[in-house]
Parts: sequence; structure tokens; C-alpha cells
Amino acid sequence: MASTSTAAPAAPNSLSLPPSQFARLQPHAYLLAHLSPPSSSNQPSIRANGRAPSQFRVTSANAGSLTHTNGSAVIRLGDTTAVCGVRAEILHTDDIASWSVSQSTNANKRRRIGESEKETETKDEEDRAHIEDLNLLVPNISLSTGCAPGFIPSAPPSALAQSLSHQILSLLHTSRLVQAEDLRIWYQPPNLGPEEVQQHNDEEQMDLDAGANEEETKPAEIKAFWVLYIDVMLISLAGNPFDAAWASVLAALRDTKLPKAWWDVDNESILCSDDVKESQKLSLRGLPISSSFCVFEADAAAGWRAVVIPDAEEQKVQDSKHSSQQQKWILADPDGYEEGLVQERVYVVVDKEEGKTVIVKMEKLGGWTVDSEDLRHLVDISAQSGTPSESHIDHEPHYYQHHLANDGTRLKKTFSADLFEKMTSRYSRAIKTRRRGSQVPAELYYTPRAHQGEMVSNNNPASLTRHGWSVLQFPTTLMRPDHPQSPVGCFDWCRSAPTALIHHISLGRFLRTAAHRGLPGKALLVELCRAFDWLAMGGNG
Amino acid sequence: MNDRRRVNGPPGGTRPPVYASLLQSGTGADTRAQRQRQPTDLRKIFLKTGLIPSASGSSYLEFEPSASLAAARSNPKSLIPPSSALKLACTVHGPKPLPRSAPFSPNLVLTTHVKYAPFAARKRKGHVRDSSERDLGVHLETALRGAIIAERWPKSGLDITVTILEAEDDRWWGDVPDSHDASWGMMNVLAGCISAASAAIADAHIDCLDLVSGGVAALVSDDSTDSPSALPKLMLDTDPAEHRSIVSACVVAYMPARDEITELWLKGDSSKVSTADGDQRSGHEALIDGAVDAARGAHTVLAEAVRESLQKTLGQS
Repeated sequence: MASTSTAAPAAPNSLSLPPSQFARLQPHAYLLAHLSPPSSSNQPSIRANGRAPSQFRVTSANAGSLTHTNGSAVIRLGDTTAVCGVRAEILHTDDIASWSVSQSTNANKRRRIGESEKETETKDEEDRAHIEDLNLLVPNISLSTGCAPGFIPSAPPSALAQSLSHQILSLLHTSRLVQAEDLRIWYQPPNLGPEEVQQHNDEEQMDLDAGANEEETKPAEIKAFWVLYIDVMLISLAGNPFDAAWASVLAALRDTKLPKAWWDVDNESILCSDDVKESQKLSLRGLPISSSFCVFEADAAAGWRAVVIPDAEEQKVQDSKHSSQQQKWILADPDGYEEGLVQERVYVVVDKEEGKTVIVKMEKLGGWTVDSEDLRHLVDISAQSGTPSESHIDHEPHYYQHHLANDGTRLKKTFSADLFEKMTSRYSRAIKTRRRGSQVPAELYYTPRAHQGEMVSNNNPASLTRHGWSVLQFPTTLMRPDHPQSPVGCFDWCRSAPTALIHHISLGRFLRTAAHRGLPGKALLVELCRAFDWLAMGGNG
Repeated sequence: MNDRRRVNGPPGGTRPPVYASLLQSGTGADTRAQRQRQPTDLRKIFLKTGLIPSASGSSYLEFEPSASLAAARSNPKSLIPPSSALKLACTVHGPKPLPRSAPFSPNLVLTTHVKYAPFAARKRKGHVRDSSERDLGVHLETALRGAIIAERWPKSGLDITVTILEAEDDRWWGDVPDSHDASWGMMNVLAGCISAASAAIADAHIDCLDLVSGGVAALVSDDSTDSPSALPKLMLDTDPAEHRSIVSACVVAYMPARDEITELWLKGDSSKVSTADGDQRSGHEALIDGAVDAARGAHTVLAEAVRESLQKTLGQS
């Protein structure tokens, strides 16, 4: 810097830098210059790496190349390379401390519930409990492979590696990709009572699971589970590690073969057959494709400078929104250079279910420029990028709710996209009552099922205020528009536009915060109450 | 023992699958991997540099699968792989300034890390480096230290990281460990690490005396039918899965231009060897000569890979 400034007055022409130097000295300006070329030059807006803003890198996959794995895959996403190996090991139920207890309670539960509908529900619940509570899926991502400078190979996993491992784990759980039935090893105890020997011999002729004799045979019991150790080594990291890691996990699981296993009474252990013909592939539910985006802002500080007063006219908001749209670019599949320049990220995982795009996971963090329209657009892009063969994309995506909390409660609810839209546009103003300070990464989900009184959230207000968010608490129970009897729940806190997460709004807290910011507290309160009335009426008023 | 920084499996631990066919003795003997190469033939090596752009230098090395493994891949029958072929990736970061806290060093400070992927070997490896991996790291460091002209970079550090994606077996999977048993697979891994690291260092444009390459030779007594007094034979580039009993093995890091060995690691009993008539060499001399011959062979591949990498950089600029 010093040398260029001293040289400048002497020879102004020598100030020109080669592009690679410019990219290093002024990375933000370099990318901005690429994305917003002068209008006279007639060039398209293009990223520094030559891609269009919504263009993904070329992906190549190679499965089954590692010898000592049950399934493996190598994914190259541009210059990012991930190698995933799946190893299956056996967990005996004898080794599970609480196994016999949990089995008997489950059996009781099953006896009490007779209806078929509830039976499927308990079956789902049991599948979930087996996979999540027994830790049958063990994904770990290693970045200490020298994949990028800055990761010390001998050090324990970095924060990034830990968060990636956890994201993969929660996505495996919420997408319910692996079926619990594939991982169970059953044992059918024979009936060896003296008077039943004849019958037993008869039974051996037919399938033991045949329905007719089921009452007579002892129920089959689970003797063991397969545990899948899913290890991802990121060999090369050039941005977007999550997409690469998830793609490699997905490809490796699709490649995974489990040997046929049975309980051997003589040895008191599980034995496996090494015959390839008897082994079984995992049957996965769906094919969730993950797409990551980042938002590059021309002036990242602009949003922080503007103080949005909630009862300003609608028009102004529209105007500012319009002008801000000119200032940001949503870049798909960011490389390492771009990742260093942005704060706001969006992760979208979509799947297809009967031709419809289903959002399996949506996560947005680090900023507030992406609004609901942008998100909708990104979902469309993700749906296209994952399955290019299917040209038909449903433009009315179902917003699936997945609670990504640690307690593992999986909540699912189709929320009307229309209401979602109304809520977000209406709330975009109130949302900006955020204190300046650190940013809290928040997962994008909103209240799925009515839980009156206790709102399911591990984002407790105290921790949120610590992160610099205004936590609004309000003792109002909102009713669902289509079901006036069932409350939607107490909404929690407001965030940026598309998330519109509200649990509790506490007036005291709110007023204090407002006073602190010097906002017209009463006007804000009136506005909020109006908004709540509007919501309680189903968004029509 | 609970690692809070990683996703842990079931707290009670899990057991690797036990195959029923293993419980009967003598199974798989007909499908036993056999060496198809001549004693002096080396396996083919795939070596490519510059696959990891975020590193200063990088290389990827893969050994050609043995005949039995290739057959098992093309026509899978059993889930138990007959043997495995080495696959590893190596990255070089640096030369970079040493951290402020480090003491002054007039030379380049070399750090090497060797890590097996958890799925690299027949037995699942842990995430934390174990003693054998640290041992490999030290051996690799000695091998490279002699080749790098370290005084050209005072106060700088060089990090070399090797990730082993697939390692070699120590013996054929069906054999029980016996008295001759040792971690023979590690020696092949070390030879691969040396060649790959050498290519990555050249890719990072760090001055060296010569390209240092690794080679393995072993004394093998294969014939179980012969009398026990039969002398072990010298073989180059042995795959331990293909032999009944390896008596001793040797890995060298060798620089052909100076005819210099920077690292020598010899294990086992090399007192007896069946040599050709008129050959007066003792067992360990023959073994070291054999390893040097193997390293010379690897050197030709290395030189070709480095030439390729250089042509690529010249073409770019």
C-alpha cells in the first residue's frame, strides 16, 4: 500500500495493478467490479470466477472406490473435494444399557393404541427413537487433512468441522434418509416346547413371518443394530464445504451394502454372510439435494446505518427495498474467495416428493437482506440444480417444518405459503428493531404445531438478548386461520423478513428495548397490536 | 474417553462384523491372493500433482490394485476384499513465517503429519493420531529433511500433511498373526508417503537436492510345502497380503542423483537369504539393494509427474 501511494504522484500511469494483485488488495471492490460492470460496457454481470450469479460449479462423483468400506464416494465440487467412507459395525442390544426397559414400555404403548393411524405414528416414532437415541448414524467431518491453510492438522476439530458434523447429523435425522428397518437385525426364536415340536417342524417349511401362525410363534425380537460410521475427509477445500460433504454422504449411503446378518444361538453373537448376493443395499428415503448461497452486498454497512421506524409509510419501505435490491447479489455455490467477503448465507436442502419440491431444510444466517421472494427464488434454483432432468418445478412449494433442535422432536406441518408470505411482508418493518451488535445465527423454522403454554424452542430469550437481539414477548395466543380452535402458539421473537419467527412478545421487555433505541414506543406498540389482531383474524383484516 | 468435539457413536461401543465363513478353518484358501508379478517387478503407480489448489503443493498417489483385488472388483463375490491398494493424498503448506512464539530458527522448520482415514484399514482407525501414525510422521520427516535445502528459508515453516485413504494390509486377512508378524503394511505406506511428499514439495517449488523416492523390498518365505530350512527369497515392492510369511522388510528413501539414502528402516530377521550363485552379499545388503532398486523405479514415475506439473505451470503463466 505504502509503495503504491508514494509512486502515484510521480507516475500516475504506473498505478494500474494486475488483476491478481487487485483481487488480493481490494477483494470486495474486485468482486463488486465484476458483478456491476459499467453500463456503457454492455457486459453481463459475472463473478470473478467466471460464473453467472446463480451458476453452480461442475460436480463429479465417483462411488465405490475404497476397498475397506461398505460404501464410499468421492465428490469434486469445482476445487472442493470430499471423500466419504461408510463403515457398518454391530451394536448388540445387550450393550445398550436401557434396552430392556425401553422395549417393555414400547410394547405397552403398542398394546394400548389400537387404531391403525396411530400405529403408523408410533412406528415412525420408534424408527426415529432407534436412529436418534441409539446413535446409529455417526457422521464426522475431518478438515485436518491440510485441505486449506489455517487448519492445523494435529489440532482437535475446528469450530467449522464441528458445526459441519452436527449439521450433517441433524440433516440425516430430520430428512429421515436412512430407514431404521434396514439397520435392525431380527431374531425369530423358535418354539421348542415338547408338544410344539411337530408344529415347529411344519413351520420350518414356510416363512416364519407368515401371518397365519403369528399368534403361535414367539414375536421376533431385535438382537442388534447396524451402526453406520460415516466419515468424510475434506481433501481440498475451496468454498462450500457443506454441499460437498452432504453430496459425498448421500452418494456413499446410496453405495452402501450391508451384509446379511443373523443371531447365532450357538455362538451367542451376530454372524454375517460375506456373500455379495445376500447383501442388501440401503433403501433411502428420497434424494435431498443441498444448495448453498451467499449474499454479496455492495455496501454491507448500509443496512446498519438506516434506522427503520416501524410506523413510517409503507411506500418508503417499498422504496428502500427496491433500492437495496440493486445492491446485492445472491451467489450460488460460493468459492473460498467469495465466502471470505460475505456475511449472509442461505442453505437450502430440497427434495422431490411426487413431483413436488419439498424443502427439507432451510437455514439463513448472518444478515437480513434476503427476503421471502428471494428465498422462494432460491428454492426454485435449488430444485433445478439438483435434478436437472425434471423440468417441472412446482411453484407452490410446501414449507416443511423441521425442528432442528437437539431434543430431537421432529415437527412437521405444512404451513400455507400464502400466510407465510403475508406474515413476512407485514413484519418486515417490525423485524428491523434489532440492536447493533453481534449476529446470531438462527435456523429458519417457524412454529409448526400448537403447543400452548410451552413453546418448543431452545432459543431461549435470555440467550438471544445476550446475542444482541431484541426479544419481544407478548402474552397472546394466536389461532390458526383454518382451525379457529387450535392455537398456532405463542409466537416468539421477530427476525429478518423471511424468517418471521415470533414466540413470545413481552411488553416490558419490548418497551425497554424501544426506549433504549429512542423509538416511539407507544406507536410501535399500537402497530404491533394491530399486526397481531390481523394475524389472529387469519391475515384477512 | 468421550470426545466432545466429535459425533460419538453408541456409548457402549460397537463390534466389527464377524463373517461366518471365518469361523470355519481353511476357508478362502483357494481364493488366497497370490503374487502374479516377477520378484523384481514393481506395481504401477498413479501420481498426480496440483489437485488441491488451496495448498502450495499437493499430490495424490495410488498403487495399482493387485491381480486378486482387480478380479474381486470386476466380479464381486465376497464382501471381504482380498487385498487393498495404497491411496493417499499429500499437501504442502508453506514456506510460511513461523508463529511469533516460536524460537528463532536459521533453517526451514519441517513438520509432518500422517493420518489414516477412519476407513483406511481393515480395522477402523480412531480420529486421534495413534502411535503408529506418529511413528510414520517421524520417519517421513527424516526422509525429507535430508533432501530439502533448509538453510534457504530461515525463520520459516513447512507443513506436510499426508492423508491415507486406503492403507495396505499387514498380512492376508485369513491368516492368524504369528511370530513373523509385524506391521509390514506400514512400510509400504511409508514408501508411498515419501514419494508423494516429494512430488508435493516439488509442486510447491521448494529447493531440494534431488527428488527423494521410497522403495520397499522384503525377504519372503512363501512355500509352506518346502522344508523349513528353505531360504527366504528377495522380492521388491511386496504386497503383504500376497505372501504367507514375510521374514524381514526394508524401506529406503533414496536420492538417485547423489546415490544417497536419507532414511532406512529395516525390520525382521535378514540373516538368511537365497541369493543367486556367486552372489556374496549378506542378507541385509541384498535387502537394502533391493529397496534401492525399488526406489529407483519409483523415481522414474516421480520425475515424470514432476515434469507434468512443471509443464502445467509453464502453460498457465
